Amino acid sequence: MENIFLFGLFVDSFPKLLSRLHITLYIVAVALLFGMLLGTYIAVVRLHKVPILSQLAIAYVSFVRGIPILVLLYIVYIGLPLVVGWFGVNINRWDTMIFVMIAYIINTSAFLSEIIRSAVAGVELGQTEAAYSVGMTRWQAFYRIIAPQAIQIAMPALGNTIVSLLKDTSLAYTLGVIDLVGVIKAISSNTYRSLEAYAAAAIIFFVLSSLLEQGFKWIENKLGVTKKITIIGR
Amino acid sequence: MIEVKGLHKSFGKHEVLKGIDLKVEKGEVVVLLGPSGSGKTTFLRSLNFLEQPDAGEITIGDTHVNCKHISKKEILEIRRNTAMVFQLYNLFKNKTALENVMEGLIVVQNMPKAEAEKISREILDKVGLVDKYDAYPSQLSGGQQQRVGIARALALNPEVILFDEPTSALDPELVGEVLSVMKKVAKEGLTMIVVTHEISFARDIANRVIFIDGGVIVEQGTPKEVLYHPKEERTKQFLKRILPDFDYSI
Amino acid sequence: MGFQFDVAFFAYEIGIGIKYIPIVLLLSIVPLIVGLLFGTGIAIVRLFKVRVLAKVFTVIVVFLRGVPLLLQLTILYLTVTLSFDSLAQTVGLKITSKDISYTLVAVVGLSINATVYLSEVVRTALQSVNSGQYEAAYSVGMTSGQMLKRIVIPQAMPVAIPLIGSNFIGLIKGSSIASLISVVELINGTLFEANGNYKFLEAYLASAIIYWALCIIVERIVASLEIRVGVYGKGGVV
Repeated sequence: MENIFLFGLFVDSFPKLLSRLHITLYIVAVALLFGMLLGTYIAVVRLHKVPILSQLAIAYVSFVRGIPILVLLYIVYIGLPLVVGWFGVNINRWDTMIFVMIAYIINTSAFLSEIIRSAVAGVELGQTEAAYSVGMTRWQAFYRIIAPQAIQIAMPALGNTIVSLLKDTSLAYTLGVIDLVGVIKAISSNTYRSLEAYAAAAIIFFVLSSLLEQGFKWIENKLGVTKKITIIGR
Repeated sequence: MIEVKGLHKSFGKHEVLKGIDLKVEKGEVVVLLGPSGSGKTTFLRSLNFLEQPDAGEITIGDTHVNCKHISKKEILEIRRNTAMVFQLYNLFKNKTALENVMEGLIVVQNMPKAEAEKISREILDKVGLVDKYDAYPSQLSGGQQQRVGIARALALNPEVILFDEPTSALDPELVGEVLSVMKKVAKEGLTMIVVTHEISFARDIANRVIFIDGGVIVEQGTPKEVLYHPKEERTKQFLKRILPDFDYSI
Repeated sequence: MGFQFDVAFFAYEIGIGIKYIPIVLLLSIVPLIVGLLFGTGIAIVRLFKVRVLAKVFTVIVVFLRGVPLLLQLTILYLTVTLSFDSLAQTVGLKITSKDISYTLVAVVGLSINATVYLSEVVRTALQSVNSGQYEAAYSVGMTSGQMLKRIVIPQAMPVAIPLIGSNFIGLIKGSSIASLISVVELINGTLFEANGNYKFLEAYLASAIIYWALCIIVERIVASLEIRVGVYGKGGVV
C-alpha cells in the first residue's frame, strides 16, 4: 500500500511548488486588474444602452461566460496570432504568458461586467431620483450615492469570482506556463510520480482560497454588507 | 414664482398630461387632488424633470425653459432651484440623517462643510430629530425618515418644494408627525406644491386646491371653494368617493 | 499570408462535435443529479447540526471548495489507477488500471465536485426561508420531514433554482477538464479530426460554439423554471 502515496515526496513537493507560486499570483493579479477595467467598461456600455456596442457587449459576455476556460485559452493562443497576422502583425514570438494573461483577462472581464452591471442596476431607482432632485449632476449622483451602494451589493459575488479566478489559473499549464501546477509536470518527469505533488498543490490552493475568503469576509464586515442572499452564482 | 404653460406628456400612445397651465405665487401652498391615473404625480415630477415633458414652458424663479428644446444645463438649473419630498422617502441609504441633509449643500451648492453641518443640525432640530443626527435611514421609522426627507429639501432653500404623496406610505399613527412638520414649513412662507390624499391638510393649510383629472385641470380655487362648493360634476364625484361623510353643500 | 479560416471544416467540426454532446451531458447531468441528492443530504445534516457528521461534512465541503476541479480530478485519477494497480498486483489479477473506464472516474470526480457546491446551494436556499416558517410548522405539530416537504422546500425553490442553474452551467464547462485525464469528450473529439490538417482553431471554435449553445439552452430553461416557481415573490432578498 505504500506505493500509492509517498509521504516524503509529498513534503518535498512544497518548496518546489511554492517557488512558482508567484507566477500563479501574478496571473490572478493581472487578470483581476485588467479584467476589472474592461469589465467596468462593458458594464457601463450596457447600462447606458449604447447602440451597437451594447449588443456586441451582450454577445461577448454571453459567449465568454458560456465556454470553458480550456477552450478560451486555446482560442486566444491560436486565434489571436492568426487574427492579428491578418493585419500583417506577427506576434508568434510573444511569450506564452501574454496569451495566458489575455485569456484570463477576457474571462474575468465577462464575469465582472455582469456583477457590476447587476449591482448598479440593483441600486433602487429612488436613490438616483433623490440625488437628481437635490440637484446633483449624473456624475455626482453616481460617485456619491450609487457607487457606494453598488459596491456593497457586489462584494459577495466579487469575492466569489476572485476565488474562482485563483482556482481557474490551475489550467494555465496547458499552454506551457510553469506556474504552481505547471511545475508538477517538471517534477514528475524526474520522479515518475505526480500524485504527491498534486496533493501538495491542492493543499496550497486550499490555503490560498481560505485566506482570500477570510479577507473578503473582513472587507464585507468593514463595508457593512448586510446578509442578503444574492442570486449571482458561480 | 412658478409658471407652467401648456404642459403635455404622453407615455407611448397614452396622453397623460393634456395641456396644463398653472401659476404659483411665492409663498403659496398648492394642493393637487385627483384620482389615480389623473396625471397629478406625472405633472409634479415634470416640474423637476424626473419626467421629461413633451411640450410646454416652465418658469421657476429666474429660470425659464422650453420643454421641447431643453438642455442638460437647463435641467440642472431647474433641479437646483427645486427640491422634492418623495412618497418612499428615498433617503440616501449610505449616509446618516445629518449627511443626507448636508449632501445637497456640500455637493451642489459648494458650501463649506462646517457651515453645511450647522445649517443641517438646525433644520433637523426644527423637524424634531434632535438626537438622530448620526442614525442611518435603516435605523429610523418611516415618519422619521420622511422628516429627514423634508429637512433635506428645506436645507436647499429652493424656490419651491414638491411633495409627492409624502404620507401615503406611512402607518396611520406616523402621518400626523409628518403633517405637522409640513404645516410648520407652510407657515414659514415656503412655496409648496403638494400631491396628497390628506384632505385635512388641503383644508387647513392650502391656499389653493387644484383638482386634476384625465390630464387636465378640472377646477381650482380656495379650499373652501373646491372642497365645500365644487362646481364641476367630476369634482363632486371625486369628493363624494373619498369623503363620504365630508360635509359640503352645493 | 492572410488569415485563413476554413469555414467548411469548421462546419464539419460542428457536426462532429454534436456527436459528442451526449458525453458532455453524461459528464454534467449525472453529477448534477448525484450532487443534488447527496448535496441536499449534506446540507440537511449540516443545518440540523447532526452530531459528528455535520462537522465531518463541513470540513470536507470547506476543503474541497478551495481545491480546483483540475486537481480534484487528477488526484482521483492517479489514486484510482495507483490503487488499482497495487490491488491487482496483490491479488494477482491480470487486469491493469488501463482497463478502467476513465470516463467513469471523471463522472465520479465531477459528481464529488458537484456535491460540494450543490450542498452549499441547498444550504443557502434552505436558510433563506424565514425561521418563523420553521417555528410555525413545528408549532402546528409537523414532523421535520413534513415541514421540509410542505413548507420549506417550496419556499426555498425560487432561491435555489437560479443557483442550481449556474452550477449546472459550471458542470457543463467543467466536463471539459475531463479531457485532461484522457477522457474522450467534446474537445478531444473535435481536436482529433484536426490532427491531419492542423486546423486547430476551427476545431476549438466548433467546441466553443457547442458549449455556448448548451449553456444558452440551460439558461433559457432555468429562466422559464424561475417564472413557474416564483409564486412566492422574487427570490433573492430575505
